[in-house]
Amino acid sequence: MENKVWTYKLCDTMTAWQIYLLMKEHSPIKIFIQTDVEKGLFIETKKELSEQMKMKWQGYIREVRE
Amino acid sequence: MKECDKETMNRILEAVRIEQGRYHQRDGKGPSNPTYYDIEKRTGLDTKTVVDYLRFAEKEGWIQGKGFYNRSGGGAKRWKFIKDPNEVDNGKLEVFDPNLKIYQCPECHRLLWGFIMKNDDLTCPCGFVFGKKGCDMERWAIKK
Repeated sequence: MENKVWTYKLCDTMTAWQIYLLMKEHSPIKIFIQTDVEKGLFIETKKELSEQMKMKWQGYIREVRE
Repeated sequence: MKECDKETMNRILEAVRIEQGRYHQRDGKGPSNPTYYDIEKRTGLDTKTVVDYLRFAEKEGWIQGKGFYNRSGGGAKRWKFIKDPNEVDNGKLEVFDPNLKIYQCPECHRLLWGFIMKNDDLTCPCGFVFGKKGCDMERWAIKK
């Protein structure tokens, strides 16, 4: 349970600036790019995003469940 | 919001601040605040830009909107100025820099944040230098 991470897929329309703001609000966040299966940009964090953050970025991020 | 910049945001926030309290509601409830349309008229910006920026500013807590358009006859949201982002964070306004991009190093595939600036190189920890000898940095940008 301690090693649980939350992964979110970032919407393709998000600008670099929006991603920057998101990462600034919730840190630490690791950002990575995936080129297989589901392509695109993802973020990974050891702490779940708050409900407020989820609301704020609704439509821009989607949680990826394993 | 795809195209955004500090200057436009400041322009819109300033318009909200100037226009608030200057409108009178038909039902005699007293002074009211501007709608997107009033901001549009004052700034000369198009509707989409104004609405996008207002929504963003609302999320950031810089302005507050009241009311919304609906079929039963409600009016457009009226905007009230709350706080100036230029005056918080010790004056460091971190609003919209369209030059910020995310690059992927072609050598080690790390993701790096960087600003496109003339005569300025972005160096990856692996040693790869973006922009070296006139190399087009844009080709490495994965997020604009």
